[in-house]
This record gives sequence, C-alpha cells and structure tokens, in this order.
Amino acid sequence: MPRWQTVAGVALGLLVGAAVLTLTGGGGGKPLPPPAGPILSECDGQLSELVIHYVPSAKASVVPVYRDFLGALASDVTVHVVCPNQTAFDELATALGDVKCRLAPVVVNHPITTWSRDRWVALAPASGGGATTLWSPRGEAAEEIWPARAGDERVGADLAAAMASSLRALRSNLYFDGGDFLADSENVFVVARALPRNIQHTVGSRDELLQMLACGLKRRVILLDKSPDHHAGMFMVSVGQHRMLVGDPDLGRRYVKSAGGDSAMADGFMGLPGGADFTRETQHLFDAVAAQCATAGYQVIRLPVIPACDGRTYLTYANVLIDQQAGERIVYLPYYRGAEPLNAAAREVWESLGYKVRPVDCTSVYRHFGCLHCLVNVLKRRDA
Amino acid sequence: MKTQDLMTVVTVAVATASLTVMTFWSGALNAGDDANKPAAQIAKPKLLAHGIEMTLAAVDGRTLSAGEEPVFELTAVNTTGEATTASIHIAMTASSPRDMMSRVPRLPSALWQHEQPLVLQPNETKVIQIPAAAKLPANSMIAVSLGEAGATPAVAATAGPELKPLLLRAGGPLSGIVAMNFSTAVPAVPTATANNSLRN
Repeated sequence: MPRWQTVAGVALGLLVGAAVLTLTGGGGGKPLPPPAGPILSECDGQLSELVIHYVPSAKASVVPVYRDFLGALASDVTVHVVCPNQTAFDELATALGDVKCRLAPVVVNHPITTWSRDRWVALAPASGGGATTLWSPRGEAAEEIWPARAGDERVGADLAAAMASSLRALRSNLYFDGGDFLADSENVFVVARALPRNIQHTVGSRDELLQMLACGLKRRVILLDKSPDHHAGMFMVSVGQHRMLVGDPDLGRRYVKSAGGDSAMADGFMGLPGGADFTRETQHLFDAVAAQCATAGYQVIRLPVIPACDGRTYLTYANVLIDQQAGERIVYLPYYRGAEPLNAAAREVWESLGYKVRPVDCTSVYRHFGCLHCLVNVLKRRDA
Repeated sequence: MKTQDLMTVVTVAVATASLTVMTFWSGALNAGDDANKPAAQIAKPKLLAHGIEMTLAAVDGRTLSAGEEPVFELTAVNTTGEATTASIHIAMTASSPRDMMSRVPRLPSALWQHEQPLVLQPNETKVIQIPAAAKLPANSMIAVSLGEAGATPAVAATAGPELKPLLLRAGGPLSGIVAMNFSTAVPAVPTATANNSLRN
C-alpha cells in the first residue's frame, strides 16, 4: 500500500506537470494553438469577412473588378484590404468611391501581389467563438525570382497579427496554392498538380499527401487524377447539394465560332494568347474532372469555358464567389466585354440552378491568368 | 503534518512533474507557424521503378546557374536480388512569370529531355553522368523530372520547338517525380541536390 505522502506527491506532480505543458505548449515555445475546424465551404453561408490585396501597379487591372464586386456587397460585410502601405489603401478607397461594405486596411510594409486567394485557406474555428485559422502553404511558387511572391508568403501571418483576437496563422508542411482546393460542406477537391508539387518533397507517397490534407482540411479529400494545370476555380465550382459545375471547352467553342469562325481561334479570340485551345487533349482534361466528380456522387453540369493555348489564360465562369442571403443564392459572376453571347450562355446556366446573378466585369483582369475568385479570399461566412 | 512527510510529498511531486513533462514534451505538433518554417522533410527525392531506386543531382553537387549546360548525375540502385531493367525519362523545364501582375508563372516550357536505359545486376549501383544539351535561361524556375519512359511526366509543359512529340501539355495520374528544382535568379538560390523548394 503506498503511503499517503506518496499519493499526494504523485497527484501534485501530475498537476504541476500538466500546468507546465499547457503553459509552454509542450516544448513548442508557446502555448499549443487550439485545434482548427474544417476548411470553409465555398458555397454555403453568407459572406461576412473577405480579404483582397491591392498594389498600385495593378490598379488598371483590378479596380474595375473590385468596383463591381465591392459595390454589390452589403454594409455588414467587412473587406480587409492587404496593402504594401497606407498610400495604396487610400488610392484604392478613392478609386472605388462609395461602397456600402466596410473597408479595413491591413498595411504590411512589404511587396505583395494582387492575388489573395492562393495565400492561405481559412479553417473555421473548431468551436463557436474560437479563432479562424489561416493555413498557409510551405512556400510560394517562384518566390526566388519574384519578390512580391516572397512577400505573399508572409500575408497569412500579417493578417493574424492584425487581427490577433480572431485569427491565427499556421504554416503547412505542404506546398499548395489556396486555389488548388475547392471545398464544399463535405468534400474538398484538390487539383492534380498538387501531387507532383509534394511527392518526394514533403511527403513520401500519394497516400501520405491525402492523409495530411485530410488532417489539415478536415474534409473528405478528393485528389483529381487528371485536371487542367491550373487552379480549381478556373474550371470547376461546387454549387451545393452535390452539384458541380465543370467547364467545357466544347460549349465555349460554339460561341467562338459564332463570333468569327475558326479563324477567331487562330487569331486569338478575346486576346487569348495563341488563340483558344480546343484540342482533344485539353478537352479530355476537363472531361476527366467532370467524370471524377460524377464518380464522387455529384450531379455534373457543364459550363462554357475557353482556355487559351498558353494553358493559363481562361475565359471562365467558374471563377465566382457564392453568397447566401435570406434564403437566396447569389453568384458574383465574371463577364467579359466582347464575349456577350458567351456571357449570356454562362449566366443562363447559373440562373437555371436558382442563382441570382450579380455580374462583375473581369475584362481587365483575365489576361493575367486569374479572375474574380482568384482576387478575393473568404475569411468568414455567417450561417445563412 | 511532519516536516518529513512534507519532504516526501515535495520530492515525489517534483519527480512526477519532471517525468510528466519529459514524457509529453514534444514540441509543436503542427507544421509550425511563421516563426518556425518547417524544415525540408525529404532531402533527395527518389523514384522507385522496377525495384530500382533513382536519384538525380548536379555533378559534384554544384550550384547551377543561368547560361550553363548542366551535367546531371543519375544514381540508380537495384534494391532487388534480381537483375532488372528500366527506361527512364528525364525532362528539364523552365518557367517564369509572364509579368509581375500574373497570378501564376507561365506554364513551364520544355528545355531538354532524355531517355536513359538502365540495366542493373542484383543489388548493383550505377552512377551515370548525363549532360543536358540545353542552356539554362536566366531568372527562371527550373524543374527536372524523372519518370518511366512513355508515362506522363511529373511536370506539365508546353512543348519546345523540337520537343513537341514527347512532352505532354498536362499531367495525368502521376508516374514520376520532380527530382530537382532550382532557380536561375541572380544570385542563384537553388540547391540542385537539396530539393526543398519545389515550385510548380
């Protein structure tokens, strides 16, 4: 039988040990962060807090997009504007004029690009009232040759520092762009190129990558076997209720023909570098995404898209932001001046799904390999 | 309570607390935050095909820079007790931003590719030097992929003028790895052998 002194000593020791571990974070030098919840769904809930980047050199390209989009947001939406300095923020605020949403500057004092989407993904708080986690990739593509990209790498931490009470930053062991993921309330789709970016670099095998993604994102992970070499939002979008819109170059082709026949393709329809890419190989990649979504239990609806021969420039209608307000489903949908029949066809698809369309002029930005969804990241959504 | 009892309680408590802390002292369990950028996990990517474990590096581990034609060193280890053969496809691509406004770098373009047959005796190791007949462009991200010949390369690339038949535009299910990547920015940052910064 242990003596009472021993029992009391063990109990006291356990208490002290537990306290030390809690206060120090178990050796991490700081308290262990609270667990994060799942990646935010892109098609559920009401937009509440958004993040955009603004750099004056991108003014001509992004201000028209921001003017349409931010101008359509309600007063209860906060838009955090990451800027290299206060002057940049003031310039954007002036260029936008009156908007109802609240603009909040986050001045970072280092170079950044204008693309917010890829910098981090938001993980919901694990419990009500907890902090949102910004999960940033291990590094940024091409940061060695691209100073603004090196700055982008710091944005997750910048935001967490600016909003310490409600955000925390966490850096992943994995390489990814935020745009490599497409999440709804059940699944997260991951583009095929995420695998070669990580295999034998951060993970030993495909299974290990899937395991790490599932652990970090807390959703079922569906790694696309084949997909266009671009971000998910350029060619697919989940619209809820197990429905997936997937781009279809064949549908886009009809409108290119109506705009000037096959010569338009060769000459660079809408300024697409090298012209539109309607090759069988490219079509196959879009079709492969559609097939895999169907296999995963989704109803697949095809949406016109026109990829360019450079593999990067798209006229896409999947690069949207989805909002829910008072039971109404809203889509902020890109349109491109000069592609009106294509715009109308895409709008029709969205409306047929019950979405109210709020058009956003993306003519000035699509040539830079991204669009609306790529410019705007979502920090928080409210339950609709 | 006697002093001796108190001493016993304190002694046992200190020992228990120490044991508890030592047992559960593990460091941060997650990937780390910005103050603790995670270290490279895999220093030298390996491709395993037909029982052959392959790695690629620049000869003498040298840092590669713009303007030079790199020479690679393929190390192939037959991990089986039987003779084995394989045909390996090595491809080098380069990518760079179109402009500073771009969301992503351009699709990589093919610089050079090579097919290397391998015949290894049981448990044999071969080290083969392979010169690449292509100059490295400046200010670019270079990736060198290894894969089985005829399979989809790990890096999607636009075809260079003389390489069109062999490189695909985009990847299917992965059958290879990016064995090396580095930049030719000045000053060069890479490490041809410590591939800890794969960048698309």
